[in-house]
Amino acid sequence: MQRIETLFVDLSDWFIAWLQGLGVPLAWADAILLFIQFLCIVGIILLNITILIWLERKVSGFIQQRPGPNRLGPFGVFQTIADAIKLLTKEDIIPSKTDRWIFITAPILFMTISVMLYIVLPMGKDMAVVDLNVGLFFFISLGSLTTIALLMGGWGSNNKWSLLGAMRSVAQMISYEIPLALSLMGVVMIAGSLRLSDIVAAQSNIWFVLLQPIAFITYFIAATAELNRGPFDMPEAEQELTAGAYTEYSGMRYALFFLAEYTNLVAVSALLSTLFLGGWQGPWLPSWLWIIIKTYLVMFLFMWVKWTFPRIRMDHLMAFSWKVLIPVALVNIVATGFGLYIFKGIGG
Amino acid sequence: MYGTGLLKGMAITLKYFFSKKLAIEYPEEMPKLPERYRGHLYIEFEKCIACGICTKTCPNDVLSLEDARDEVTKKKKLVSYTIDHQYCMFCNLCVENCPSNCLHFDHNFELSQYKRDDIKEVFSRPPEMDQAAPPPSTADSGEASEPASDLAEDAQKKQKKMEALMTALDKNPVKVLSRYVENEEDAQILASIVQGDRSKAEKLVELMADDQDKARKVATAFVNKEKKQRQSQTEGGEKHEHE
Repeated sequence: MQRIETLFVDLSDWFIAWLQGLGVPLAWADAILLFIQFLCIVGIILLNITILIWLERKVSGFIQQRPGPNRLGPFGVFQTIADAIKLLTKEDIIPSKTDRWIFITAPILFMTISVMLYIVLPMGKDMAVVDLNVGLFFFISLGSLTTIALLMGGWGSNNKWSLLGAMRSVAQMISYEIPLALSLMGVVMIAGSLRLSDIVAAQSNIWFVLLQPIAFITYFIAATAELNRGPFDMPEAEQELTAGAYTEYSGMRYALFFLAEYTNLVAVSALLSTLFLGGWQGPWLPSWLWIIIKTYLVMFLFMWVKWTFPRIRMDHLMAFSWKVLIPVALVNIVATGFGLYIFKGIGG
Repeated sequence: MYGTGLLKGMAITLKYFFSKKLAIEYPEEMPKLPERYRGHLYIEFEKCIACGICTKTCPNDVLSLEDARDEVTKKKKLVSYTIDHQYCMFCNLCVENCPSNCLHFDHNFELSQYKRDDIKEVFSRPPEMDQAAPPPSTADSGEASEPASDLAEDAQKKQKKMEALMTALDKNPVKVLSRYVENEEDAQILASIVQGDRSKAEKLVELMADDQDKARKVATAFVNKEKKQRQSQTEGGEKHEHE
């Protein structure tokens, strides 16, 4: 049991020791390990996305009383692979009127930012690539950068739908960034740290979803908007804007945007389970399995919400952020402050 | 309270998530069609009285029929019936107007074909219908006719039938003869024999009018003989070449 729990940590320790045994200096060995960790993260992302896209289609099918993909392999599990091969082999089209370099770099930037989010996520006990002391801040700030990639894609496409989608996404993301950050303040106040491993450690007795239920709900709503997922998928809004910022993209470039969105979904779900659901903590099973289970439960919640509610109107979306979410999050911070003051007053 | 509607919606979708799936996976599983579903149109050949009302009612000229007068009963009979499904709009007018209720829609909706010509469906008169046709009996009328005149009448009828068959044979030999041999190829061989030898044609026609089975036997015999002859000729030719 102990072996399985520390499997990955032991592996990396053994790897460093092996490299040092070969005469590689420690700094170099660390750099090589970092590169391998990066490859592992990319592998995890690609594997998860393959499962996730299949899961999304299956969940949407089940909710609409359809069987979902079921042709390729058992329960259609190889459907995503077939789709990926199709997208990879498609012709790479760059429309002539686009702003070429911005058009090309936008999906790459989007994907890069999404992968960077994984650096700080603790994927088990002592299993963050870099356990930054400002981990949460790093995550939020990087997450908001995806707006730039979307705006680049929308502007570079030189298409009215793309630009409208990008403008919407900027408006939406800037508005929802505020309740997103504010709703995490309560958690940070209780844990007393921005380091994600500290926040997990602070939940050893009670999960923050019980201490901060309002923050959990506001964060969940704001995160849905940040992820551009339904019912807040205004930047895409295929019924109004064909595919929003992605209209002119096809083949692998479109697939990159698509992958990045799901990469973000996994990252945000993992963060949600880290901040509110006790992270990797749990009985019996090894820590890295617990975070996977919790992440997938949160992702199921995201899918469940997406396939239940219709898309909200743009002005309602903005009004909801500024008139409801932000005041509620602010009140929650004040209430948490009072609560902490009283609690410490009693305790100390 | 705010938000209860949202929870209700989530509860409904969760219920659907676990409920039985409604989708019918068509090629493996056939849909349950309502009883009066209008799929493929077909005709019950035996019931048709060749009145042609269907062809007149059809708004798209889908239907056409070929009729002939029965020499024996002096009634119109159906020779072939053609349904060109590509123009059918399933309006049901032909079915409604058929006086003998011989047109029907069945539940087969897989009408697409690789070639346009294949869409057209031709129903031809099944040969057993002519065989099973009752001999001209006057039992219903109750009149006891003279045997001699009966015989004379029979002979006359036979003569007429033979004449009709002969003209048909001259006009389209393969089609007529294909009823008496097994396949199209044999029919063609037989046609060439008959065209070459008038006496053989007359013999065949006589048998056709008299006894169908005998005609069939004779026809196969002709074909076999011709086949053997041709084979020996080609073999001889080959031998010749080898030498």
